[in-house]
This record gives sequence, structure tokens and C-alpha cells, in this order.
Amino acid sequence: MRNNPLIGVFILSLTFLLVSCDEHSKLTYKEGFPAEYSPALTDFMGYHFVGMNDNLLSSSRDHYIYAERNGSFEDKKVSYFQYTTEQLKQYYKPMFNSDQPQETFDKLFQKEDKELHHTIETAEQGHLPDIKKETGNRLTIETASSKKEVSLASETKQISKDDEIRFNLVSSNSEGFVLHLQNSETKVDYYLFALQDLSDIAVYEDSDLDESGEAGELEPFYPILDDVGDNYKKLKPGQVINADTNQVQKVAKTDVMSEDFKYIYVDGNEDPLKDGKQRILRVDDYFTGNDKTEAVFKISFKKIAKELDFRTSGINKAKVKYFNKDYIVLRLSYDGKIVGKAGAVNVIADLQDKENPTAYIVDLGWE
Amino acid sequence: MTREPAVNEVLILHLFHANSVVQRCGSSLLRDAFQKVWPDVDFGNIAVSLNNEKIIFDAAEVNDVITGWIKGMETLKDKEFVKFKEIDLPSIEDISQYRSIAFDIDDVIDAYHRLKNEVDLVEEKFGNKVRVYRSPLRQALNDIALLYNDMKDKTEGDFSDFENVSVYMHGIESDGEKFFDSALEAADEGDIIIRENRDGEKEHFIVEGDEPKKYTVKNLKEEDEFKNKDNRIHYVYDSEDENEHRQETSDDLTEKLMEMGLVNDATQIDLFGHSYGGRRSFQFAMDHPDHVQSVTSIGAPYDTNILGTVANAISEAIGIPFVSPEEYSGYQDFNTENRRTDDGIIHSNVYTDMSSEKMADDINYLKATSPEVYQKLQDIDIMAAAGHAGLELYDGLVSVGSQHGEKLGDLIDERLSYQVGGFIGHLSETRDEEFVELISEVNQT
Repeated sequence: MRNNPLIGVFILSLTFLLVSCDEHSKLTYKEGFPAEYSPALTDFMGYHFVGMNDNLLSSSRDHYIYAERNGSFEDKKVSYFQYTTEQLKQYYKPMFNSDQPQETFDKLFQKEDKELHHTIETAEQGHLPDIKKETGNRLTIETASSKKEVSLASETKQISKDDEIRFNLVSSNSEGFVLHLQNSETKVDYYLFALQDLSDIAVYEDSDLDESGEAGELEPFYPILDDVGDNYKKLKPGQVINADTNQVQKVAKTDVMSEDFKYIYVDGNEDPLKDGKQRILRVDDYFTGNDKTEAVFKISFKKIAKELDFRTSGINKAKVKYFNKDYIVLRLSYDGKIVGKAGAVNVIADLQDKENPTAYIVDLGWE
Repeated sequence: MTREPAVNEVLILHLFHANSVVQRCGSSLLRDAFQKVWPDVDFGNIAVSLNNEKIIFDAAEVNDVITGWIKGMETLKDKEFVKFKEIDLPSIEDISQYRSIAFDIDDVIDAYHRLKNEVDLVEEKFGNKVRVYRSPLRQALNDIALLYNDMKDKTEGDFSDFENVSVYMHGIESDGEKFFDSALEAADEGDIIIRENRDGEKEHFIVEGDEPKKYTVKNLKEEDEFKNKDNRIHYVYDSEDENEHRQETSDDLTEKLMEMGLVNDATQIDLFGHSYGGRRSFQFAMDHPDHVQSVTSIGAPYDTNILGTVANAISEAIGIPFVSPEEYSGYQDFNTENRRTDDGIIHSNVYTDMSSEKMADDINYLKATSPEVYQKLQDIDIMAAAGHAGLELYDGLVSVGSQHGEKLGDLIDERLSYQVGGFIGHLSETRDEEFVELISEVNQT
């Protein structure tokens, strides 16, 4: 934050007002990074330091399992790693009480991730497929119950044997798995769905996925897809599929879907965000057109600037950087009074405790 | 005129030639040299006016002309001597006249020799001006950097072999955050964005859809977008000191690009600057015209600016809200007017620069001292965009004329205007939709 020495804890009232469907709570402001662990904070830290690159396959309160990202068509296999919740907490512990939160945040991101990358073999976890890519874009897939060679060029006409295809495992459970394929040169995306026994495998080009989904072709693979609502399944970034109607639903461009696909931040994709009331809906309510809100809170950029002593002519950027259940990280940037920049800050809105929601004001340098 | 008539008859022609040479060359330094010596020739004046756009100075060629005059005078002296010798019984008047002619010729020849020395001095001054222009110490440091980094050949760094680089330069009292958002919007899928923060830390991103995906350097190098080297690099740069002088920025930027392996014969740099960032970009182009493909600015104060003048006039003791004119960055411009003193330290910064120098002054200086560099600048695509509030007069801080660099003449290839929103339109120019589209278009060429 610019022009604002550390001034300790301060309280702001009326800036944030958290409203659930049947109660009101005032949001407390605190300057600085959260002072203690919480599940949502831990998920956020895992997302930022690991999940932004590698593919989270499953998480529980005990540990996280990832498929390592394959960034090149030259990568030949899917590798896995895991870390425990305790290991993650130890990893980001330096964030607490850091005098330089921005620097610490960046250093933890840049640091060699040996502490969090504990390799696991597929045999250790029954539902993790062993997948290798051979020449000619052939995949050898081995699961606990079956083994098969899949020629991508045969599965879909759009992929040829010579295409530079990189592949990443994006979803896996006891029912099956989903691979994201991408042509490195043309950037065309494909999705491969497969059941664990490999009895059913299908490849779709991204642009055909909606039509195929609505035609019911993805029904055999619904057990693979995460449940994100009463009727909805996670399909791909920004999209879900209604398991009852097979309707593919996309989030409006102005809105933001949470990382777990379960919530929508209405108008969360506007930059700058509108001042005032902010609404979060469950995905079921959002797509059915209900106005029932999961959470409502108010933002006053002016009051935040005043409390941070920014001499500003107004906000120029207010953007959602991270959104998951009960946890939102914003970036706010303010213009100078007549020229330049007055300052910028990240705001962590922690809605986990409905009785005592808190907004942490700390510049993580996350633009 | 006091010379002998026989000498004057030759000097008529020499005077005509002298004025022609000075006018054709177009250099005031050369004219000063001739005017300094010509009284000793004692025939007429060097009185031409200089209106040339270009300076064409070839010391050897000028001295060849003067050598011709000397030989002409020597021939005249020989001829007069022969005539004198032909007189059987020369009278005292004959002797006096010959002696007078001979003395005149000797004086003129002496003057011409001194003139040749003065021409040599002018040539030396031209060379010194180039070094002084860039400041002697910085030129020496640049030479050392060149020696160690061997800029003639490819400079190795993490990003060697990337041929298309866009560099984004913010203005005063600011940083690159807005340009980061604009660069992201203008970028193509797969492009790489490098965000260098004021503390020197770098963040690396690959553009995926509408969002930048952040990578460590190690992970970035494993991605095809890095390995292929086909994509563009967008380097969003924070100056080390917020309000540092443009020369400081140019020198720092050079060093950083060299470290990344982006200063070489293959890489072409497109520069984008907002506000004083336009001057910073221009400075870099002047310093490295061989490596710059284009300069695109918006809101740039190419003329002197009232904000600079007012801010620079305020001492640290008084203070001025919202700006920091006293901010020190360790640079001192060779122009004494482009300096201020804070805490007993003489230094130069954005405010001293904006209050004391129009960019046109520097360009004219460059034209006079390094015509070949000026020619290279003309070959660079330079676009000056102006934001305005509706009447097309100014953007709240900088006039449209200044933003357009009107005094830079045909050095600016294209002048564009965009209506920008906000109470002070200057603040929103970097994120203006049309300007972002312009960035995208420039990056495609």
C-alpha cells in the first residue's frame, strides 16, 4: 500500500454489511494478513501457490492430490503429487506476521515447491490412471481394472498423428477421469472422458462439447463429473451441465464462478466492480433465475480509500482475483488526485464466520 | 577592404565560395568558425542565414576547398613575383607594391591555415557533442557494458530468441499496473507477460483466454509457449524510482533487457508510453534506434508542461500535495536548467525535465550532433495519440498539441485522437478502449 504506514488494527463500520437470507452482520475491517489458519484461507493458499499451475484432483481436510501440469507436447506422462493440509499450513506460515506480506507472498510462489510436491504413484491411489503419450498421439492408459491404447487420431478427426498435443488430467475419481487436450500450435482444446474400466472413452472438441452434452452423449460420464449443486455437474471452466435436462449452462460474462463451481458472484467480472451491494448465489439458484442469495455484502471504495489515507480522485480498478466459498480476494487500485496512482491494495473478504465476517486489507501485490 | 586589388580580385571568388560552403553545411558551429577567422582575411563578411533541416558537414571536404584557396593564393604570389622580376629597374613604388601584394597574400594564406584548424576543431566538437549529449559518464558506462556484453552479437539471457517484444512505460507518480491490464487485453493467446515491479521482482504470465496464468520462471520454461519462442513478450516495467528522469529509465531499461537477452540484432522492440512514459520511450528510441521498431504514446507531454513547472518550483520545505518533485533518483542532466537541489544534492527528475526541456530541443540537438541517429529515428514508426475531453484541446493535464508532439514535425508518423472519460481524462488514457485496440494493432505489425 502506498502512502500508508502500518497503523495497526482499526475498525470500520458500515463499510461492509454482510446479509444472509435472514440476518444482518457487520463486517469488521482489519489491516494486514489474517492472523490465523482457517479452512478457506488454506484452500486459497493452496490455490495460489500450487493450484494455479497444477491440477487439483481432490481435496479433503487432510490432504490434497494433484496431477502435475504438462506444459509441453513433449511431456509424455501424467505425474501425481500430494501434500497434507499440515504441510500446506507450514508452507504458508511465514505469511502470518510478515512485515512484508507482498514480498513473502511472492517468495512463496517463486520458491522451489519440494515441500509440497510429494510424488505419489498411481498404485497408491486406486482411481489415478497411469497415462502415457506415445508417438503418433497414442495414449496408453492403465487403470486398476483395465488397460488400453487409445489413438487420438482415430478417436477424433480433428487430431492428426503429427499434431503437437499436450495433455493434462483435470478430473479423476473412482468412476473415471477427464483429460484436457490442447493443440499447442492452434490452441484448440479437446476433452477426453473415460470410465475407470475403459469400456467407454470419448473425445470431444471444445466447440462441440455443448452440443454433445445437450444431445445426452455425456450421460455415461456423469458419475465422473463433480456435483456442484442439486442438479448440476462441473463440466469445464465457467460451465456446468444439468444432469436432469442435459442442458449446458454458461456463466454470464459479467459474473464469476467460484473455484469449486458451486457459487456465482453476480457482476463479479465487472472491472471496476460496482460500489455498494454485492451478491453471491448458489449455482442452482443462479441458473434457475431465483433471486435467492447465499450472501450479500456492501463495498465502499471511498471509505476504504479514506481509511488508508489515499488521496485519490477515485477507484480505477476493482477486480475479483479469487473467489471460492466464503472467501473472496479483491484487487483495488486508486487514481491519484491529479496525476498518477494514489495506491492499491488487496482485500480478503472472509465470510466463513457468518456472525463475525472480516475483511483483511493487505497489499499482496496481486494485480 | 584594404587588400591590394590583385588580391581582392581573387578574394571575391573565395568569399562567394565561403558563404556557399557555410550555407550548404547548415552548421552554426562552422559558421562561427568562419566568422571568427574571416576578419583576418579582411575581405567582406560571412553573412549567410542557416535554415537547413539537415546538417551536412564533411570537415575533409571543407578543408579541401580551403586548401584550394591557399594554392590559388600561392599561384597568385608566384605570378606577381614573375611580373616583378620582369621589371628591369623596379622603382621604389614597384618594390612597395610587390611587397604589399606578397604580404597580403601571406596574411590571407595564414588566415586560411587558421581557418582549416578551426574546421578541425568543429569536427572535434561534433564528436564531443555526441558524448556530452549522453553524458560522459553514462557513455563510458555504456561502452563498458557493451564491452562485457558484446552487444554486436546476440546477448544471451532467459529470453534470447524471442523476436517480438513490447515494452510498456508508465508516467509520473505511477507504476505499470494499468499497463499490465491493457497489455493483457491487447495480447494474443499464448503471449508471455513479464511484470517487473518497482522492487525489481519479476512475475511471469502466459495469456490464457482473458486471464494471465502466473508461472515461476522454471515452470514457464517448461511450457510450449516459451519453448517455441514464437509468441510476443510484453514487458510491463516499473521504473526503479517513480519520478526518475527519462535518461535514467532508458539506461536501467537497457540493462534489464540485456539481462533478459532481449537486446540483439534479431529482437525488435515496440515501445508504449503513457504521459511521461512517452518521453521515456522516446529517450530509449534515441539511445537505441537500431533495436526499436515503433514508439506509441498517449498523453505524453512532449512540450514543457505547467505541472512540471509548478511542481519543480516548489521546494521540499513547502511541499505540494499529490506530487513528489523532490524525489531523487541519482541522475544529473548535463543541462543545468534540467536540475534542482534537494537536501543539498543536485539532481534531475521528471519535473525538472518537463519544466525545462521540450523534446523538440533534444531532437534538434540530436539532428545537429548525430545526423545518422536522427535518420534512424525517422525510420522508426512513431505514433503520438492524444486523449481529450471533447473539445480536442487537452486531457485535463496535457494539451492535445503537446501530446501530438507537433513541434517534432514529421518525426511523428501518425497523430491520433481519442475522447477519454473521467474528470481528469489523463488518468484513464492507458485503459482507454481505443488505445488498447491501438496497442493490439501495433503488436500485430
